[in-house]
Order: sequence, then C-alpha cells, then structure tokens
Amino acid sequence: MAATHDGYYLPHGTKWPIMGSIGLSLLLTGFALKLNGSAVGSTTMIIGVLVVAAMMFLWFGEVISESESGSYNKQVDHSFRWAMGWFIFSEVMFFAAFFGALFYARVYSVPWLGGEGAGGISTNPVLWPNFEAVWPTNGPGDIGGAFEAMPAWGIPALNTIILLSSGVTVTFAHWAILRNRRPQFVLWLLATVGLGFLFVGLQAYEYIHAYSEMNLRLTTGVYGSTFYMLTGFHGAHVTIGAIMLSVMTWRAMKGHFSAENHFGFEAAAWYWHFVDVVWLGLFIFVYWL
Amino acid sequence: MLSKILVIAIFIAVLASLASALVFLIKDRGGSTRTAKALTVRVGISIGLFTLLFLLWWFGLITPHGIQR
Repeated sequence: MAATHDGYYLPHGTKWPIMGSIGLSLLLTGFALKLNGSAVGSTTMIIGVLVVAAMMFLWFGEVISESESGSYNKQVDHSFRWAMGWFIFSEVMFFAAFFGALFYARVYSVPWLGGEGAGGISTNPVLWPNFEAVWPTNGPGDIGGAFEAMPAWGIPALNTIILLSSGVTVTFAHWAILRNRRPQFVLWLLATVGLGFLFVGLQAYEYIHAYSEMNLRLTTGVYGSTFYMLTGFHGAHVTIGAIMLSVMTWRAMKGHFSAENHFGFEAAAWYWHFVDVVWLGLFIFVYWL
Repeated sequence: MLSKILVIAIFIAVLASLASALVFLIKDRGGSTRTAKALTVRVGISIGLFTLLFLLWWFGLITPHGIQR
C-alpha cells in the first residue's frame, strides 16, 4: 500500500522490478545462446525484449496514475529531478566514450600509423611504410576494402535542419504549457514527434544507401566502426526520445500537465534537446572537421 | 584553422546553455522559467552555428570530408 508523508514517500509492494529482471535475463541468455549458434537464441531474445517493454509500459503507466491521483509530494518531485540528473550523467559518459574513440583514432593512432610524432617514428617504417594518414580512413590494413565517406551535404545536413526544427517546435510546446495554452502545447508536441520519426526514417535510408552503394559498413575499419557506433546509438536515442514525446503528447491530450506541474514533459523535452545537441556534435565532428 | 576553433567555441556555448538548463531543471523544481529560457538560448545558438557552418562552406573557408579513394 502506497503512503505519502510530509518528508518521504513509501512505495507500495511491486512486481515490476522482478519482471524487469526476468526480461533482461531472457534477453541476455538469448543473446548468449545466439552467439553459440543455438536455434532458440533469437526467439528467447525477442521474448526478453517484449517482457522488458511490457514492464516499462505497465510500470510507467502506474507512475503516471499515481502522479495524476496526487500521491506524490514535493519530496518525490525532488527525487525525480535528481534521478533525471544522474540518468543524464550516464548518458553523457556513454557518448563521451564514443566521441573519445573518434578523437583518439583521429588525433593519435591514425597519425602515428602514418609516421607522425614519437609513436610514428617507430611504428610507421616497421609496420606500414606505405601508409599515409588521411581522414577518413579504414586503416593501413584496408579493412573492408575501398569505400566512400559520407558527405555532409545531402541527408546529414537535411537531418540537421529537421532536428534543429524539432528543437524549435519542442521549445514552442514548452512555452505553451508554461502559459497553460493546451491546444498549442499538443500541436507543437505533435510536430516535434513527426520531425523526430522523419529523422529516423531518413537515417535508415542513409544507412541502406551507405551499405548498398558506398561500401561503407560497420566493418569498414576505424571510420566505418566509429561512424556507425556514433550515428547508430544516436539514432536509437532519437527513437527513444520520440517515443517519450509521443507519450507526453498522449498525456497532454488527456489533460495532464499544467503551468505549475509538468516535470514529466520538461524532462522529456530536455532529453530531446540533449539528443539534438549530440547530433550537432556528430554533424560537426563526424562529417565536417 | 581559425574557422574550426570558432565552430568548436560556439558548440561549447551550446553545451553550456544545455547544461545550465539541466541545473535549473533540478534546482528550481519547476518554480521558474529559467529551464525554458536556457533551452531557448540553446536552440538559438544551435541554429546560428548551423548557419555559420553553411556560410564558412559557402565562402570556401571550411570543407567537409570529401569522397575518399
């Protein structure tokens, strides 16, 4: 039984954490089975994903009901805000690792292989005397064969315009709820979600083009692997953000949120801005500089 | 090189406005419009940065990665 006190909140007994543990166990067991060539690996993984998705849907639904019924006090609100802060800290570390890998490859390891600096003096003449360090590269071993680099103009620039526009529309939605203008709030949220899924669709098209026409694959040496790891994980985050904002749109339509109480929306909106800024970083460092 | 430094400096300003919005989201507890204001600044600088990239390219001061091999 849930109980609210002035200083703290006692959550009710809940089945969602154990359901999540079972789902994740099935997912990882399925993955291990798949790696070992088992026929049931993929099926086990799909069941695991479905169990986790159901757990999240039901658990978040319960949190929304509790919030709307007024069960949460200021202390709960405060804990949600700090949880958001730590979640974002983990996200920043996650992307920092991949940007760091790109930085290391471009600034250190590739120039060393090409003969630059103290590392290059010993590495280049012995291992790869004919290798010239230029970026983009799949390395001196020519892993994956000849490829074309992804140009900045075209879909990447169009996708940047789409995401920046979605940043504008979500900001309009933000100001609309702060002024209690619900119709505009819903409308701008719908526009943001639409732009988000449009981005994902174009990114998928770009990947198909890269694989089929440009021989640019995850296996295309250091350029291919950093390109797909960065843009792929970013694409996954855009998908998650668009799903979050879809839920916020549905809640806005149901009359949830007000000028004074809208943390769920504000956190999802901030996440969307974060995903937008990560893309801007990708656009600059992967496609331009 | 100067163009690249300018692009990175403006990108750092984008990161700073985004980070300040998160601080306001946690500290103000919904009691102010500082989060929304910081995010509005974030969007404004980002659009400015994209426009700058376009202009630098237009005037030949910066070139994206071309076709390689």
